[in-house]
Amino acid sequence: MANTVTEYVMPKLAMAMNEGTVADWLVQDGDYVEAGIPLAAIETEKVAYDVESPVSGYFYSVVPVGQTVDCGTLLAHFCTEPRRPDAADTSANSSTDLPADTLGANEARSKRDPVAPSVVDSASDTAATSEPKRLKSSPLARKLGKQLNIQLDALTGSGPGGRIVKRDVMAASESKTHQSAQLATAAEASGGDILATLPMSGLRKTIANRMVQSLQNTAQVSCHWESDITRLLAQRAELVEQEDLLGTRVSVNAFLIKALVYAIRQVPIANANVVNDEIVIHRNINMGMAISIPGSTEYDSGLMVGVLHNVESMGLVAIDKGMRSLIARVRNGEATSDDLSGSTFTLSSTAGIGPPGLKTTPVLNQPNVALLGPSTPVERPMIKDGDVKACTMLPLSFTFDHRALDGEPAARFMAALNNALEKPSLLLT
Amino acid sequence: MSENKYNLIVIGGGPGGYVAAIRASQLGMRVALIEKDQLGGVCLNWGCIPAKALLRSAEIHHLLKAASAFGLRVSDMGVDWSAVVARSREVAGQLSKGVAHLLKKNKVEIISGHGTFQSANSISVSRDGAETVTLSADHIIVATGARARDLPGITAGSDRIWNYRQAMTATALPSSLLVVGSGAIGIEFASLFAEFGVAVSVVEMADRILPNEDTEVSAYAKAQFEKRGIRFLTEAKVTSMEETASSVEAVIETNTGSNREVFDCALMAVGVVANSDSLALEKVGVELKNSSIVINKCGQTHVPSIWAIGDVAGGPWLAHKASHEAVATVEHIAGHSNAHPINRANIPGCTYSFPQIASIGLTEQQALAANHKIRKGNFPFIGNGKALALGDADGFIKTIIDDDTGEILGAHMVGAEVTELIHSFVLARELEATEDEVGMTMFPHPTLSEALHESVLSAAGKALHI
Repeated sequence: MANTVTEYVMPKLAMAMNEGTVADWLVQDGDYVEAGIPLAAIETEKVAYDVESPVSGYFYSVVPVGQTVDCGTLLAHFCTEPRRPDAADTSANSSTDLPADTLGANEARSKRDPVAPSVVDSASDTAATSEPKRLKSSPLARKLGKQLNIQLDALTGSGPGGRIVKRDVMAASESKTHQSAQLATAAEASGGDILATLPMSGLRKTIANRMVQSLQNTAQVSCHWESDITRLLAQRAELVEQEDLLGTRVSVNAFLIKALVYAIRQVPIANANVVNDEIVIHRNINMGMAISIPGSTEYDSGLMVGVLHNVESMGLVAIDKGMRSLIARVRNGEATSDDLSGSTFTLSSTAGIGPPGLKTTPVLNQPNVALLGPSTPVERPMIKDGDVKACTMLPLSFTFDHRALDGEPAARFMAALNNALEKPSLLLT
Repeated sequence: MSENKYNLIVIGGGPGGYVAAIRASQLGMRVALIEKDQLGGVCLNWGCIPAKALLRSAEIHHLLKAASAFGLRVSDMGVDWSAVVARSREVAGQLSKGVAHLLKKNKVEIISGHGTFQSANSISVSRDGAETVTLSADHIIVATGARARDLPGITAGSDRIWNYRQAMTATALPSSLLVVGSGAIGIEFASLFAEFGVAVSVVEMADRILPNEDTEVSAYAKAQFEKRGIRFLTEAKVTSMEETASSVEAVIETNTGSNREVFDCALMAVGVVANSDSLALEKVGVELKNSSIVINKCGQTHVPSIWAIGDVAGGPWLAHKASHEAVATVEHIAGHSNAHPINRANIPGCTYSFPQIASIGLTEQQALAANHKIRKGNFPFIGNGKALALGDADGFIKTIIDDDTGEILGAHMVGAEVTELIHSFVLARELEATEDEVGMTMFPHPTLSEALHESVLSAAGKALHI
């Protein structure tokens, strides 16, 4: 019988996704898989997705668990016959047809905790044991990883060519034990010098890489000023009074986003991404928001950028509600792929956390060319129309990528933003 | 760079030193190697290689004696000991020349003479007591090896009280031989001379022979050696030895008392002592412990520019350990991206006796002492077709498997060609294969190697031929 083969490629599950890791195949080679059943766990830098089978057929994997490949790379075959495809078999459709379908067909489910590739399976007696893996590890290391609950993909191998060997797993296990021991004794205080040892892995590693990359690859300039938000706060107070009616307690951040929309309209290049040596200026304003999330321990912190899409078309209340639910989704690990990708500008606030008047030099969230970092307001006497007045000043730090944006448009952008914040009626325009 | 300035000076041209020099040269260093005697060191000239050549003669002798069992008739059989020794010397000489060629090919400058430290970066070389040249280098590797240890009051090196050198170049076969020490060297010479009809007695202080091996291996090997006529005195020590014109008189103290015995010759094989004296190491501040140079895991001494490898830096006193330390240390000095300290838990040991003995990793006793929950595998060569065909089916392969992880903690072999089988376990351990991977590996039939496969399978109750 002719074996008609459908190729399944690494789906592009989000706009910013260029590559993905097969964290797990949820079906076995040779299984007859119905369209729509959970097929694989695919991980990107930020999110893990369960994807569904786009077609029905006998499933044969090509890329093993643990391997990271570019979007569009062949991952598996669906065959009409229960055998692996060979040269004589016919192709049902081109490999590039599927990713779009997949993107549409799958309700992407995300988890904040990365799912570990089940590399440990290879140590068992089952079939797929001899498949090559990009993650180099010894059989003993894999077995120990499974037993000690150590995720091998988070380790740095010390064997030849970075191979993960027994001592790496044992060291990780000891450091885990050590860490819990340290955390336990921390309560009793005094003891040893080391309070906790935190592994530079998972989310922490992603943050570290992105920060270093951003600082290495862009020409970042940070500027500081204070905007008088006395009037803005008065307006906000009116909205807060209407909290029950509006269904939300409108925040200063919502006003800030509105003001950013105003300023971006004046200076559109601030709403841009640098992608492959091109400055792509966007019409839609997708507001990336730095959201702190709990770390792996009480000493650690985490950071993710949630994205509120199309804020240019939203009112204050919609922005505020959208922002609140976005933050909740990200913190609960329920963010969708859209929630975590596609930003065109970033807002990174330390307001209410840092001391009044704090100035920062926030690091650009690449590929965005600009970022605004408001912090805790400070009361100052200001001279207004010849009189000294008590004003609430909002400290603002603005970082821009000088590769894309020069001082003149940056200054115009800051002036426009300041204008909008100080004269909040402009936000109605 | 001035004429006498090098990136690296290596003192000693044995299996540690010459390998270090070659690897350093490969990595682009300008290298000088100082050797006071013969290239190849003890291993090539007075140890591993010539001893194996002698043992080969003994092995053939053993086979010829059993010729009729193989359907062969041999007449007028005899031993020409001086020819046996001559062949051994020839093999050693051939290899030593090979080392000289290798060093030359790799552009290593060979400086003949005795090196002593002038400073942490310079060495003065003397020949026949006169200084010839002073060399300096960024790094200096000490690879001066070790020599046979003497017991207090007994100095070996005479016509009748031997160390390994006299034993392998003896002018005639003795009628009787006292071997003091039952480590690899003592046991190999005991096997060699016993095969050629010498009445051999081995004295061992410990309660068993080959005390570094697994107890089951010790016990089995002892019985095999006894079958071949070797006499063993364990928990015994030689308290004094006197050489007369025609014999050696030794006082041997055992549990049952003290006995004076007379032998034709005696061989002292009670371990080695590092050649760390006469290098002026104390002058530059290199630390010693029990005569061995103290190093870190990369081979570095307390003086940053001075390194030590091989026997001079402590046991186990094995050529392959020295060579591996050489490569690891040189790559570390060169900042090579894949430099790794040697894995001390994975140094195989081989004894080329009849039968042969080979081992790697933990013995059963060590594994239990380290709180491992273990399973044991064992397969006797009597169940192996190739061993039967060879007519050499004595012995077994014992494996120690971690019950939780399947890690191969140790392997202990006694029998035909086991020194050529042990590398499978060394490789498996280096790659961290567990019993599952070894179990899945296809070993060719008919070979002795099937026995090691079966031994691992047997630890899981899956052996097929027993």
